[in-house]
Amino acid sequence: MKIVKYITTRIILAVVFLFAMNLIYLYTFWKEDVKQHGDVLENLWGVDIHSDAIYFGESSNFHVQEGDSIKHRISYALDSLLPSISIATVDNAGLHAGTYLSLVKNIPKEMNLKFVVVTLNYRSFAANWRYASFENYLAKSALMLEPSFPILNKYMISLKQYDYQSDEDRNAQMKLAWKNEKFTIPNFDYANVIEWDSAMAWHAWLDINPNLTEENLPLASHYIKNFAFNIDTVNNERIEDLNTIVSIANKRGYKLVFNLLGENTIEAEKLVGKELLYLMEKNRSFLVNYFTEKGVIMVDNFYQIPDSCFIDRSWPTEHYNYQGKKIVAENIKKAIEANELHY
Amino acid sequence: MIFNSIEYILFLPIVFILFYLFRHKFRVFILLAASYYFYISWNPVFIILIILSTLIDFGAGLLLEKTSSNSTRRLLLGISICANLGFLFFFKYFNFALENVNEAMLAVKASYQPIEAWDIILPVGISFYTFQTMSYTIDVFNGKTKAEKNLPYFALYVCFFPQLVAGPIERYNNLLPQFKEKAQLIIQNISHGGRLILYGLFMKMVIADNLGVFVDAVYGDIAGASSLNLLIGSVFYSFQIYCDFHGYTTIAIGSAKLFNVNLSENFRTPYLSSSITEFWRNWHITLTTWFRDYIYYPLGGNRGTLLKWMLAILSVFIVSGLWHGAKWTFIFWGVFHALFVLFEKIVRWDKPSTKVFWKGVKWGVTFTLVTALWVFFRSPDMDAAIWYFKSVASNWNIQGIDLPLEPFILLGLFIVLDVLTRKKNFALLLDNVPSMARGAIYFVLIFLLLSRSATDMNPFIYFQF
Repeated sequence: MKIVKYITTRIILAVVFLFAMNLIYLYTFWKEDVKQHGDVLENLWGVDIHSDAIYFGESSNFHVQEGDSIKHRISYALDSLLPSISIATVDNAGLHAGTYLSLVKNIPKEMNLKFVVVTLNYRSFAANWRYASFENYLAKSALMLEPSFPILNKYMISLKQYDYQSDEDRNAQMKLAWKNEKFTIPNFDYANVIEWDSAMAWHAWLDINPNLTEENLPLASHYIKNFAFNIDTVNNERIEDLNTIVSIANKRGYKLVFNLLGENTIEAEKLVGKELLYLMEKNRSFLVNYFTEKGVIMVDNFYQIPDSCFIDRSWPTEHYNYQGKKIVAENIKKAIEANELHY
Repeated sequence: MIFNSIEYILFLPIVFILFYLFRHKFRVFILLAASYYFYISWNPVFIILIILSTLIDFGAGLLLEKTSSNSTRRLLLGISICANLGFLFFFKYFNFALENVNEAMLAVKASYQPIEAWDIILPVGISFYTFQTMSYTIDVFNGKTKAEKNLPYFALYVCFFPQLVAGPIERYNNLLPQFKEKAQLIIQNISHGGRLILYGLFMKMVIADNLGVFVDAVYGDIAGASSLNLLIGSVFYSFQIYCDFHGYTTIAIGSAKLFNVNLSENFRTPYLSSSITEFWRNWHITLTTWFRDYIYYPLGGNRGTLLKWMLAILSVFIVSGLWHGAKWTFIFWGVFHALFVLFEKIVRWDKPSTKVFWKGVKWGVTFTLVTALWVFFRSPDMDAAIWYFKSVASNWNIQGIDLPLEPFILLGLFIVLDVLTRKKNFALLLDNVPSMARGAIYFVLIFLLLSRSATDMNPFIYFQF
């Protein structure tokens, strides 16, 4: 009995201690730790509480082309196009559904938002991104952002209680996914990334495709690794994260806009062929239909950005010049107006 | 499973509850199962090695006791030692030996085709449990202890989870009788165990890992680090390795305490030593005494000629270096320690001084030497170690790596605590502190543990040995 009393009093004391420590932590080290381990939350803190909407984006929002006379973000262009509403921006490189989810959870409850725009990057569903080494940092940020006891979040980070994996492990998982995640393309020999990419690497395609040269062969390989996949609704964690975002938005009464970014389908077809386009289209239509059915406003920019607007020419990205950014902003504006969200 | 993990935070209370829920006769099986699980959670395959080692030494002990023929007894001891050292050699030293054979052959014959290194994983804790089981067989051979007849108890002696992977290296006579004693649930044991676990975690996660961030930055960019960076980096490493290993053993001692088991102290404020000899009396005590009892004394200790004694000292430190790792840097580290110990003995430097000034000088010299020698320990190879020393002398005009203030503050706090725990360990020390002050100490330590633990967690340094 004495032992039970001893342990019980210690547990109660520990809980009291925890509350007090958490409070001290919030006033001392927390902001500095967030800056270091979850800097994206800092952006959310910077948001004007009276904003009508938030635009969550990744590098497509802020990446600029050298020589672009206008260096505005997509979100800024959108804000200009909709003068009656104020749109706040939260962005950072490499963000995806998982990090957006952490951010959405942290939207201050007192904000009276009319809508929330979440950027959907097609490539973020691919193994290439899902198992990128950058994921360690994003997973750490997501834990730092968890709306529980910040001091415990910090300790959990120290205990590596997030999806921490070595670069070697992530690489191995990526390669495994490239091998195991199958896709079916009618009248096509290759059913996974490894097979397709190997055929490419062994120059088999150089003779068949007149657009392929020794120089652009690596780029073609990147296109396969980044775009050739089949979205699996059960195992692809991005879908689960987006579904959770949808349910949080429904619960809090936010109108949700998914901004599916435009891809360089022209380059993809030119370098790899119509088979890759077939897969991309299949995934695009899946995303649009799947989330439209869930009541999300889908802005489909997939085929809307001309080849000339893509900045990066040696790696497939969604970095557009200002003309491309403006197209995205206008498409979002149209969708918002069509759904009468601008009041 | 490591001590600073969520798995261990859950594992320890579960084992604790199960241990006291069952009657004494079942407790050995609970601890044994827990210990095997603890090891299996790291790598299931290598549990076979521990079981083999257990069976060999258990069998050897029984046969040694039954046999009176000296030659047979020597043969049995030889088999046991060869088996244990064989495992150790294969997993730890095979590739090192191969590498050196290749280099020697290439020096003799340029056309020699080097043999490729094997892909061997070093089983965690092999150096620790191998030495522990070997000490048992040698003790039985020497008649210092009786052979254990109960296999589960002996198996537990080999693999008791708190000290399985990084010590303290326990002797049979100290550890096994404690398992056989019926453990009572005593509040003082829980509180002492809890205090030691807290203090150990603080040392590891708050001090060692935070210092490690800067140490890694310095060792990772010796050319870009200024001389001051390098000097601070080496001092930080001295405390990193101390807090890392001392932290581990303190958690081990605290965990064992929860089961009424008292493990041996492994550290007694070694950085307050005034000579290298004294340092070794206070650093990794259970390994040092192992070397004393099983290498130094059998080689004659200080009873033979001067040359024999010098060779005994040199042998102990070379083996100590090798025990830490299969690299020349460790061997050099050991040799230098041996040379300093010999020098101290010859000029009687290790004789205690009564004057404060000389005490201070001796302490300063000792700390500087120990810190400088850690450079060999930390460097990946001899070239890197030499480059480190050269850079200390030459990088004075380099701007260097930015150093935040926080590690200095944390280190200062630790030094105060370390000095305070010189005579009594942290748990005992707190017994004499008023309860309000004790509460405040807990509060500060837990707060620092939760909020200031390093985020780039490093595995325990001694796991690699």
